Amino acid sequence: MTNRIQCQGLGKRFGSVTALQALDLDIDLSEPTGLVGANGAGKSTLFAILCGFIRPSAGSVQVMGMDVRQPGLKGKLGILPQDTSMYKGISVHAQLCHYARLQGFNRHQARQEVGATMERVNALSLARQYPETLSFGQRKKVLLAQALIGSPRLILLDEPTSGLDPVVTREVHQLLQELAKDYCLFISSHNIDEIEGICRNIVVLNHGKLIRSGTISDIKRMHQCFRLRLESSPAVDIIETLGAMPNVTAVEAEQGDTRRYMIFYREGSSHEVQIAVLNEMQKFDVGVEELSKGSALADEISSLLRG
Amino acid sequence: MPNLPRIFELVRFDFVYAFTSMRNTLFVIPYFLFWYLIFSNYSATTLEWLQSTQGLFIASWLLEDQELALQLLVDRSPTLSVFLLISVGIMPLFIMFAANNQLSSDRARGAFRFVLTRATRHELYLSRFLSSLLVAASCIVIATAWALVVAWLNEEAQVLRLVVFAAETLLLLLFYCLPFVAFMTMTSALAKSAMGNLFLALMLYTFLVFVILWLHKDISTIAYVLPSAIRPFLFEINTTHTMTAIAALSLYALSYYILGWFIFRTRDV
Repeated sequence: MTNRIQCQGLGKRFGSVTALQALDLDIDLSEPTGLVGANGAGKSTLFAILCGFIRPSAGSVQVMGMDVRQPGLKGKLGILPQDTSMYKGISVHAQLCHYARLQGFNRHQARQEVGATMERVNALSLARQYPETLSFGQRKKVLLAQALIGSPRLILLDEPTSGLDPVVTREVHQLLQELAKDYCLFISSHNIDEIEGICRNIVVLNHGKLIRSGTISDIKRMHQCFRLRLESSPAVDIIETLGAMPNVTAVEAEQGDTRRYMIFYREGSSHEVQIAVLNEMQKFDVGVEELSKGSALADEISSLLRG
Repeated sequence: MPNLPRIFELVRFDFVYAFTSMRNTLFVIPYFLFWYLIFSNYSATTLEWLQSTQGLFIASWLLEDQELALQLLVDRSPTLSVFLLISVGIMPLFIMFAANNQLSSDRARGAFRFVLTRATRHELYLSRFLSSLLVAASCIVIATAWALVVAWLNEEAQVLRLVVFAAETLLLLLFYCLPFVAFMTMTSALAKSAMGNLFLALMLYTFLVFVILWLHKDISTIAYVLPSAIRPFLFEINTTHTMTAIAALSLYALSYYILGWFIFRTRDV
């Protein structure tokens, strides 16, 4: 059995809305992989198809070499869904034991498995509580434990930290980094730092189409840029001035800040561009606070999404 | 082939949940309150009235069969016969309230997403049908036992004879509820909430009743669209009729079940 996810010509329509279109994907999940894209890119739809929750409108999909509807896949795939709730009025422990028993554990083994899994996600104290009494962060942890029950080979995590406060987010990050050592993780997230910190590979979706898939380092290398931070807002139009320089492909103000810019350049021209930028700033008497090479993954992703 | 231990676990959990969730048990209150009102006013006088000319006349008119009325109210236990008649009459409504929360609300809430990575769709579908059947059957068993006690307190018949009548009544009621539960499983594959399912089932059932009433003079077989057409076979305690009724009810249940499965197997959850 492989650790691959393979999609061929995968498409999904919800009425007039196209969520996924002609998606060809072949990912080896032996290493943690991130799935990124803007809202409505089709990330959750892809996960739902991989788990057999929804049927594709076109194409085929195989998970670990099997059709997603095959009974042999049951128990080998775990998911932390984004917007789902557990049963009210039944303790977390009872619900998790139920899921463990569905995976073939007997009553005693199920209790042990639930105990061990809850301990792994640092949520053992929550086991006897009812889902409706838990905070959002606690619920996420419980749902994560749910996904780990029975040690599935592949775990899909749909926005594992969305809506969490920074403290719990950091805790979940650490947890995911730990889990990545033992499980094949496929994580969808808006949080690029999260993906960068945990995953080695990345899949980028936009409007239901595959934009890029590969290692994070390869993607980061694709779009070379300098990050420029100025001492004060300049009197000249930096975007126009630097954009007119040879080998510069684009200049953008970071989040509209007139002191911070990203300068994209052609491959192999970093030295010339670096020197030219400093010369230009000196010419206009603009103090440079920082000029650093390379960009964060978030910038690469946004440049990929811009096309 | 479905995995039996998984189905057993799904049914067990669902059955327990049905009786621990306030919303799921709401139907129990009106159901047993209804029987309480019937049985608390039931006495030896009621029994006498049922077996009187007036009582038999009304029963003959309702059943459209004088012989059957005599058989039910004189030859058999009148208490259990009345219980059978009323139970059969209220069965569609009772099941609509008892079995409306099968697939619909959990599908909308996403709770199936925790199950479908561990069990197949068919196991899930079958278990929801079985657990709803178990919930309805539990209520019917309790109500039948209650009717047996009332019959024993008010009638002078032998206890063994009453127990045999009660067992026959129970068996018929359990088979009669089967297609209605399957009907609700079918509609729950379409609806997005328990209330929506109740509304959909009520609308569909009422629509079919109107269609039957409208067309039955021209097409007499149209009545067989609904399992209610089997009712006359249930009242006549005759082995051939009973077996026919059981076979027909099972066939109805299977038809609704299969139809619902074809809907559910392609539904997004």
